[in-house]
Amino acid sequence: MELIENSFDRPSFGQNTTAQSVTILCPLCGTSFIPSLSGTQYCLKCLNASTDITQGITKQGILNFCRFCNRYLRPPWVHCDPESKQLMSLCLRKIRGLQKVKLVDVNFIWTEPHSRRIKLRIKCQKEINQTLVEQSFPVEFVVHYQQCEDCKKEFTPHTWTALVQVRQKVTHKKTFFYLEQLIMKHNAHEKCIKVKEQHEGIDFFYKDKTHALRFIDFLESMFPTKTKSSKQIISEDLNNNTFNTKYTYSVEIPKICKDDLVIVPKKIATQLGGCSQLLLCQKVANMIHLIDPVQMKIIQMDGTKYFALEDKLTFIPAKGNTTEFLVYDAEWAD
Amino acid sequence: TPPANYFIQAFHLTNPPPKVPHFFLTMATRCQFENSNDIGVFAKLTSNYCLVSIGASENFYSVFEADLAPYIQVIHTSIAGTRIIGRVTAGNKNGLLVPNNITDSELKQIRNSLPDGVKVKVMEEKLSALGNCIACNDYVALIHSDLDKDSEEIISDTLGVECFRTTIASNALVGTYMVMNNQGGLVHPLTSVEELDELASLVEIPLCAGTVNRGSDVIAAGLLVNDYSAFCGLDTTSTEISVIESIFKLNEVKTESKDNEMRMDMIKDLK
Repeated sequence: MELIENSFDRPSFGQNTTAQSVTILCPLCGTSFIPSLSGTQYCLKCLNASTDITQGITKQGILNFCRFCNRYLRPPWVHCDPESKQLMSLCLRKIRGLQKVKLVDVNFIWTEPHSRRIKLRIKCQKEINQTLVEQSFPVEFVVHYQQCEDCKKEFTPHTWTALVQVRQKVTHKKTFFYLEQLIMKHNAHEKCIKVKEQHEGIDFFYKDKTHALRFIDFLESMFPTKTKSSKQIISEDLNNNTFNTKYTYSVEIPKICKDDLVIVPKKIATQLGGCSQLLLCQKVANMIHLIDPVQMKIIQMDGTKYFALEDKLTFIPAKGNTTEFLVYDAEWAD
Repeated sequence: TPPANYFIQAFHLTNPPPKVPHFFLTMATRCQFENSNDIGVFAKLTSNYCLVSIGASENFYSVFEADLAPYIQVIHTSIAGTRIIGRVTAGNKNGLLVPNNITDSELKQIRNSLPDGVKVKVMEEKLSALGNCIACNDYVALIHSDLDKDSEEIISDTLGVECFRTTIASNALVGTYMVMNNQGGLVHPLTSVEELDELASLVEIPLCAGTVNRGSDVIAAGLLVNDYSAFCGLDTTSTEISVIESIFKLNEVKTESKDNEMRMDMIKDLK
């Protein structure tokens, strides 16, 4: 149903008078109405039914969604709850042609999540010939699966160039939990492509050798470490003299943890400055702090010293080997 | 309506049919001129003659012939070589006004074909689309505000009418936005209440506002009316047709009052 188009380039009628026009019968439905109020020859209902103010507005769209991390693609990948405000704003941004009409109300229409469709009901208003026509229409979005860039990086196997293997030869994971907190605090995981858990440690994969070296520097500032590096040539171009290599760095963290007992043989005890043979580990930071319970002396060991003596010392971990005692009474001893 | 209607009906078989068919079972007829709904542009209808323009096919002509042929003349013509004869001529049962660009042969043909007593006059007027400037019935004419004084005198003389200069809904083209017969008239839908009252008092017939051809406000382009029949464009909705029939009083035969019923019974008894 089309409105008669000739009324638009018409000479104006009744413009000089502010008087109301007579009532006529609407040609489409036969109801009587006053045409000067609606501005056209049709009654308001027929005008509403015959005009389509939603022409030109997109009624279908596509949303991109990453299955692996559950994020929608607005130009950055963002996380949206179903039927949330962020999802609504994301959908509205994708609709073209909303500038010509005035938005009155937007609602979600319930859709089955497995249908991969999101529907919106939009109510809009437009002025036609001095009358305000309000129409509502549904917009359907199809949710397409697309892998976001971060997930792509994680899934492709051969994009890493450098690998940092962090190992600690203990049975518990206390240190790694602490390491995780430290990494998050200092944002040291930025350039890392992939993180993989291994036996007795974690592997960090990097695209660039420099990123891996930066991470190793970070680790060395946090713990006393021993680093070994190696490389492997993947491919070579002898004409240009270029080589494609993969670098692997092995970082070892000391076995010793806080509250561990260290048994020192006599020779080394004298080396360390005449301390007793039993030492308690007080703190592991940049250096290892050991406390002598008898003489109340604190001995500090840095990484190189520790790794030199590692074989000769015996470590007894606190967990599982300690019993808790309750102190009843303390007496001064002479 | 005079009760004579029914008596004529009763004596139909013995008497020859009268010149003006009062027993016409009317309903407005829908038609098109070469797929255009603006039939008022291509034809001119009055009580005793009808002008139809030359078309590529003769379908339009035959619609008029079928309804009107035994009673009035249906004349095939062009004006100044154009087909828009409805909008450049103005006429009623007393006379016909034609613009000054009409060719001599056309004028001769029209003069010969029209019934006797119909005066044909060529108007020397700047506003030559007479059909758009003059809305008339057999007694009164409403004319464009800018027509010359001389033209006004010619109009009242040729058509035998009283002329009034008015506007319809603040628009000067009265012939386009108003259609009249001797019983009623239809005007542009945006006419104000005061204007309608004023016009009705001038022409002394009931007027109403309405549309034709599915909401078009150009009444005269879509509608041809005389005292006993009407033709409108194919797009005209049934609401519009009912308005047309009621204002131009075309469905007289159908409306039966108590008196008519009694008369019908009397006639049956006489038979």
